[in-house]
Amino acid sequence: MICHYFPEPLYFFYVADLPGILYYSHVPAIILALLTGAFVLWSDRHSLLNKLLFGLCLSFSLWSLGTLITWTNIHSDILLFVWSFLGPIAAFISVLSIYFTYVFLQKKDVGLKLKAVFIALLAPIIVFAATPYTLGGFNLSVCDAFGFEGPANTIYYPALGALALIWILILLIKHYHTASKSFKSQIVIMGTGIELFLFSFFTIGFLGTYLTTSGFLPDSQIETYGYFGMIVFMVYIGVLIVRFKAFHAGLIAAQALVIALVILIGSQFTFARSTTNLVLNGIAFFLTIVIGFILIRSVKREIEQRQRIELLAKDLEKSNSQQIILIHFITHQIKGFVTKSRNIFATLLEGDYGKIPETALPMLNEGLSSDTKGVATIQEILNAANIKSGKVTYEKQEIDLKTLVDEVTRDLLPFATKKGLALTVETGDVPLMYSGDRLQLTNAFKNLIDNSIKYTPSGEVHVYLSEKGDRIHFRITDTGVGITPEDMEHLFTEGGHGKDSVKVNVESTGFGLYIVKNIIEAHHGKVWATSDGAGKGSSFIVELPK
Amino acid sequence: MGFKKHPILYIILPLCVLAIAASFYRFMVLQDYIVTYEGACDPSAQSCYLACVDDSCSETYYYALVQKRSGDVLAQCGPDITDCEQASVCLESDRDCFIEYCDSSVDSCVGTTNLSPVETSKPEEI
Repeated sequence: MICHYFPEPLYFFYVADLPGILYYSHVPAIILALLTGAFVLWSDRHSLLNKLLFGLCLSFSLWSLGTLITWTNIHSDILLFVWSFLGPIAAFISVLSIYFTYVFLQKKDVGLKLKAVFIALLAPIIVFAATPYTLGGFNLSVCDAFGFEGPANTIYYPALGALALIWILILLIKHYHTASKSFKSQIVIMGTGIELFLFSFFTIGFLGTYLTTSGFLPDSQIETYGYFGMIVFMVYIGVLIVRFKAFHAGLIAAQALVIALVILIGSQFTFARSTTNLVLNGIAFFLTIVIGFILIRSVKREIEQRQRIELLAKDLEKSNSQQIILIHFITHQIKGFVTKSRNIFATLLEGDYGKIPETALPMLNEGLSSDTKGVATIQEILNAANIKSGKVTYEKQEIDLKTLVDEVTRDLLPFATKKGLALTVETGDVPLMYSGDRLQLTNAFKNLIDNSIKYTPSGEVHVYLSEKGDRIHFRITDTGVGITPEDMEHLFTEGGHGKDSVKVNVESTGFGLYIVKNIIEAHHGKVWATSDGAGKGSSFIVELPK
Repeated sequence: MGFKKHPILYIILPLCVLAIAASFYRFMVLQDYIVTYEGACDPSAQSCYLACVDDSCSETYYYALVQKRSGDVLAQCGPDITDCEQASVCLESDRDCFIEYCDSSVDSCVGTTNLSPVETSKPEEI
């Protein structure tokens, strides 16, 4: 049947008498939703998230198209046929929104049980689409079916929309608390976008239908404002794409956004009536194109730069790990050879192969000493490499730091004496119990004391150990070469040699203090150095929490 | 693309196809739905609603609210009920016909008020 009071539309959609806001709210929203959805899907066709977003955009576009037909068409059979599917499509939008949110937050598909719930929510409204539970009749005088909508349209799908709003809100809040800092921002952006969209779509749509059916409004024009919610949602999706590279979308996200903006402003020409309006709209349209072009260019440059930096960072990480592997391999191999050589010298000196001539003894001793130092140097490099690659594990046990420091100092006393240095130690009279890794802490303290001995040509080295409140203090003070402000900056870094340190200690690897810092920090402590400058001695302080 | 991985697709898609087919058949083929419209009304014989042709109300017309099955109206008058007398009366062949005349206790009416406004009129021959 034909609604005889209304004119036949042109080109299936266009009726001159209808308010311009109708086309302005529908057409840009449809184009923007389809463009964004298609663009996101095209970026990564295999991603479930992208498929769901496309599904959401497609459902919304079908809905908008359907309502545009119901606004403009005058054939009751076509109108009823299209109208009968507005409810199911709206139900799709609700369920897809929930599904989309789950996948966005959890980064994986939902389980079979939840899919069964989604099917249970969708099935009734689809099954009843062709029945009077959805639509029973048509009013030819006003050309609508508002008075004949059944509970599927008046209650079920609006309730599903409300359920989606609440369900998604709960999901967002639940995941926000456990999310990383960067993902929290994404949750806020996506959540705000989708909730605003659902709220405007369902609430305004529901109000429009209710107020028109009750007779408060002559028609449901108010629901056209609900479509702007989709435009808002697409803007939020765009922000996610550009800022967080969500949906694996690439460079042309910025272009898509600007195109959408141009379409939106261009659509105003369908709505503008006065000359002033048209002129202002034209200026805005032109400016949007120009500024949009500049924006696209700069965003493109920025994104290309960021991609280049990311690639470089990946290459650097790769070469770093390759370097570590190489260092490990080489030092292990070399350590093996040097250790073997040292053992040979030791065996010979012990007389296992008979008496060694007196004239050969100095050379053999020199060989043994050199190989021992070699093994120690290689071990230090290996330790640094292990620390850098995170392979070092710390086994905590109750240890007496006083005894540990006393033992280390005793072991190093011969080296100090050989150089004519006075090595004194003050560790108190009572044990100082601490929970830490004995081996690693021995290594750290030994490194520090050994360092001071090596870099003190003459004078003295003092070792102090005490307890102050809830902290343990370990300090080494020497009258050595001192530390310049320039050297202080990279003292505890890898290879952090002082400028002239090699002249004083030719065997320095530059890893000793780096290792000490890592060990102390692994025990939640601090280590630092102080010095009045070159030639004025230095102090190294370690603070450990009890 | 197994059922367990995509149950929504395997269940909902066939349902949608069936629903589309059923809806098309009901609305486009069978025309199985109620239509209501403003039927002709004679104020000298009936209690009629009064409506204006345009916003300025320079011209008015009288009507009663008619409700019939779309298939019946289509058979009697074709797609356009303008100038179709059969559309304004309930015939014997009509399956669900209902004419609502103006109720002067509720609305402002024009014409005879002694007819019961809310009962279905008896089907009459033209």
